[in-house]
Amino acid sequence: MNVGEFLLVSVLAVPALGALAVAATPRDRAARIVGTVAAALTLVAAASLVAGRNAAWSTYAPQDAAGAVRPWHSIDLPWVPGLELRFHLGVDGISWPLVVLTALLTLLCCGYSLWRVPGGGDGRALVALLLVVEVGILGTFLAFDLVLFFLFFEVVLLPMYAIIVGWGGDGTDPAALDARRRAGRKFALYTLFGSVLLLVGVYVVVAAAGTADIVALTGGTELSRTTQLAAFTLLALAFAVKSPLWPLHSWLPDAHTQAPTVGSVLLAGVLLKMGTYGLIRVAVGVAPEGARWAAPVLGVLAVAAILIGSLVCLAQSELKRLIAYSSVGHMGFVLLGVATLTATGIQAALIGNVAHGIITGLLFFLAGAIKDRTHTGALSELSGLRETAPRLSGLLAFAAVASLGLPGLAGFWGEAFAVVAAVESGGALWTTLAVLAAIGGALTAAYLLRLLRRVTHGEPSPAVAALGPKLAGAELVAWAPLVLLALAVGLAPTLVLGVAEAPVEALVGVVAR
Amino acid sequence: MTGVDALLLALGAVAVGSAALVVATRHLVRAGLYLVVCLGAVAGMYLVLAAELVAWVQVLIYVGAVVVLLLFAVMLTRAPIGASDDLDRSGWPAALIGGGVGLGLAALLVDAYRWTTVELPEAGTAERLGEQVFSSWVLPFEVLSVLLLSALVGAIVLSRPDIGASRDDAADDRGRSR
Amino acid sequence: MSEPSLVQAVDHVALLPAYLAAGTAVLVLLVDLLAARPPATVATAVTGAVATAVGAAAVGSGAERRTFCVGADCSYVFGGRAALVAALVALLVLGVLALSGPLLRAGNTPVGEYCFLLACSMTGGVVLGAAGDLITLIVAVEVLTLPLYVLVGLRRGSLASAEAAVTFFVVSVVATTLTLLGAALLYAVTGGLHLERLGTLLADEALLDLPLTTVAVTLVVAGLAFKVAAVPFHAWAPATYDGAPLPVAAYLSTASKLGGVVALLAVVRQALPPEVTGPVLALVAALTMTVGNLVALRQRRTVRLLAWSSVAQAGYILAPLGALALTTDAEARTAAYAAALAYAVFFVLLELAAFAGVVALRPAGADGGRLDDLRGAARRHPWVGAGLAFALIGLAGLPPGLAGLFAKVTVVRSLLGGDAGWLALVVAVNAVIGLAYYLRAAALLYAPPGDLTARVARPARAVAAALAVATVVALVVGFAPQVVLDLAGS
Repeated sequence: MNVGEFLLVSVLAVPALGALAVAATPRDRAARIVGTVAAALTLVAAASLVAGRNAAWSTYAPQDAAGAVRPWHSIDLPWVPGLELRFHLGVDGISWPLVVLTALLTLLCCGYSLWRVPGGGDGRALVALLLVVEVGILGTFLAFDLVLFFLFFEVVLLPMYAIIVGWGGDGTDPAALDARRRAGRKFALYTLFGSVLLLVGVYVVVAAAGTADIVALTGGTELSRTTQLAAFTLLALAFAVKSPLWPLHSWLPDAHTQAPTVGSVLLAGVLLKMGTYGLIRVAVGVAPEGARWAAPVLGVLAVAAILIGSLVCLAQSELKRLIAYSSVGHMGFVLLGVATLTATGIQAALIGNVAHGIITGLLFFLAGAIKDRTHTGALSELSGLRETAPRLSGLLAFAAVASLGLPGLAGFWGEAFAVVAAVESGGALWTTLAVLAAIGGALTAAYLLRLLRRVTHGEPSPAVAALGPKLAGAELVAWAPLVLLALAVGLAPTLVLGVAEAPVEALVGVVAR
Repeated sequence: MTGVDALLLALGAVAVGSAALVVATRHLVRAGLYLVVCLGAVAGMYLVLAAELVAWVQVLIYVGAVVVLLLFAVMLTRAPIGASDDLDRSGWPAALIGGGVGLGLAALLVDAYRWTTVELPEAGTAERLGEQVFSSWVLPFEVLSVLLLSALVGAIVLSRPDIGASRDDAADDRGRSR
Repeated sequence: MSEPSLVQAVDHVALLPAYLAAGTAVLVLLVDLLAARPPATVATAVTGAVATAVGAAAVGSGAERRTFCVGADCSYVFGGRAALVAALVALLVLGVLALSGPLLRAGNTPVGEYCFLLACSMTGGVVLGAAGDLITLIVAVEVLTLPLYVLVGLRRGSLASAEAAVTFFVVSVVATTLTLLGAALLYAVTGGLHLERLGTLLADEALLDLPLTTVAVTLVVAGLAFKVAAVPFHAWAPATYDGAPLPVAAYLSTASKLGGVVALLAVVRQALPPEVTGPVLALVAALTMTVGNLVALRQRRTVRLLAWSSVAQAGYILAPLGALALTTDAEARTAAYAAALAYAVFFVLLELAAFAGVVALRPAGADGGRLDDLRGAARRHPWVGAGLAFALIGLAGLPPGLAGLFAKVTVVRSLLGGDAGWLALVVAVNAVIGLAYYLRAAALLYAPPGDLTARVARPARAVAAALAVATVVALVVGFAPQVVLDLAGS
């Protein structure tokens, strides 16, 4: 086992073993520390995956179809030959930023849980579940085998459900409990619906091609047109539920509103990315002909998501719900980028993914902090935050501005390039879509500024008046990396695009043929 | 149409008619007696088809043992001897299903065989049957013994609620002391 | 036996598992008579079940053995698949015996007879896997089922139990009649009763076109579908499961259902033409899982929920067979049979664990009770609750219940390999419906307990052991499903 293989395995094994260790540690606080350490080690392992990548790419040649996916490191072991399942992991420029983002957000969530455990259950179980969710997400990003991908896709489902139902919501009265359970169940059922479609789609591909190896399948050279159309439809539906693409998004606002802060952060920050990543890596990669066939539909739906998400946000009166709906709009930009099937579009999708993960993660942290302090999420009861809690208010303003896509901050690149890619695609349809998406971007600015006006300005409401200006150290520690990253990615997008450029070019190379 | 055919038809008619009466009658005891007629007619058909052992087994076991047991049970449980009106539900669905299935199967078989002539095999004596059972079908025959044994034990268990209870009080104590 | 030509050489080694099972039954009866000590009786039954499982595994590890042959056709074929079924049935009997601990100790149940009847049923299961002709097959199914009529009725003084027994008895007898009639018609059409011979005979196009053949095949399949409780022959199952003592319900939904599946597989695989059975089974499978899942959504009683869910699971088991008519690829067909059997194996494992969990969480000798009785149970008994939740999640087919997940994957894969995409989608949608109630039941275990005064009784040691073993085995095959796939495909 060389260093790369070791790192790949340890990225999954460390949080998995960490979860077990947390569950086995008798004392609550000690267990949470163990979990945080495991998450930190995972981040180290995930970040060091970047080492040694150039060795693989030195022989890169875009004309070579077999080289459409060139993992930096990979490990390929047989698991269940009867089901075409191999333990095949790998990492390349498309997945690595997401892997690091996942590891980072999980670490921040675990660290945050050291300081504060949402009511409802003990912190030990929460941290263990967070780590299990991390295993599932990381596995999804790292899997280079379709069946393994599906497997990890499903791993996330129940722990996330448990986090929403066990630690979410506010209050323990039966009505709150009921709402929480309903949101959790909705999340689980919608997501499972997506995953079973994924399962069927995966085996449509596997039955036709006889292999589940994503590296071999990318380019879709061996699949007939009918198979590709069927496979892409199923896979795209599956990922559309997860992303979520309008009109399959209705689980998201409920789940976000009810989930505890750390749950929302993970949910918005990385869980949704499983859908968009899957769309790029699996659906587009394996069935490019299907992708070309469905691209206009996907583009129209993506723009519909942008517009509808923004319009709904304009009418929202609840903080977390607003941020949740804003995710629908932002993911619409990401999907629009994917739908163009151009290098620019997919790059925009990747950086949009990362940016959304950072910014929305931060926004949910802040919303959680506000809700924990004021015990309300209604915008009408939150005016005047600037007066009593200037730091919190300032951070909120920063995050909101980043989210609306101000140039120089992370949110800008994804949205701008998605629109550019649509314009570059040419034709009446794509130009129209680009214009509409730009209008959606303006609406995004409108509702986020409305949010800021309602929350930060004005006379302090009774709930806000009682706040102090202080922020806890743990909060600062959890938020600072996100703030810095939002700035860093905004100022130097090559952080993400640099590693992603070559694999995206290769992918588009085989897809466009 | 030979005499054998006529005899078969007549016996068949008796069997079907008496079977219908078994279900249709309101008298429990009469139902049992019609059953004797029905099973007897079937035994007659076996006889006509030269399956003598099967015919006698049919008479001995079904007519002789099963129906008599049934009648005994009826009498011992002091069931009403006269007509019992509450026994019947409306007969239409049953008639429809029974008639439909019967006619359907008959039509199927008639269609399948039409006027094919089948040679009767040699007489089904005890020797031939024994050969068959103990050469080709030993295994199911032996397995049936397990079935019969379990049926026997099961019947005893169900009919005597006292077996389990009385002995298990002691068992209970032992179980706890363990 | 004066004529030497009639004497056949009987391969006693092949028959060893059946001997062991039948011997267990007789021995149990003798020990009960002579020693008259319930622990000794139970110990005998346990030893017998273990011996049967070991014997089956030992005999099955060698080459396939055939005996009771007439010409090339054999009534008893003991190969890898038969060994798997025999060993599994024996192990399930072992598990059910463990679950019966509290019931037997609570009195009211005749221990000797209980163990004897279970052992008889086990004999049926062992012979069933190896049955090579229709008569042996039907007799074996009956031997498997008949003791259960009695066992279901064993909850003394319970009207539900008596009703359950009568329902079960009547339905089952009607089903057997159907199968027998079908077998007789098949004999009339072909003149053969041995499965492999029927297979060759029925490959003839002229015979297939005969309506009588279609009816005969349909009758055989329908009769056996009763035994697996497939829609529309399912109505008996929930009432029977709920009325029966809990361990017997566990046996009904595991070993008995496995028996039905094995019988159905045997006739469909070897004897009956796939062109006829395929569409019938596809329809039955789709209906079974949909109806089972939809009705299970509304259940409020624990055992009824499990019963309806096991109706739905029967649909998943039958689903791979539904692809038979659509493909002429022999490899895809073999994969379909293997997938059905593999799913059945995964299923019985998880189902046994689920029942073990319910038995452990209920007072000794009680019935399944309402779902609400389990509210917060996992907080009182963390390990048992976790085991039950694991089994339920596994039945829903989600991680961490990897065994259940791989079971579903196996089915979907074989369906898509056999070009039955629509059925795969039906399975997929049903998995979502299934999650709704499995999740509700599992979440209920962790809900805040409403009744804080509920008695916290320690689950019986044997029951806890059965739950632990079933869970561990489910975990292991969850990580190494290839073991099951290999066994089922052999």
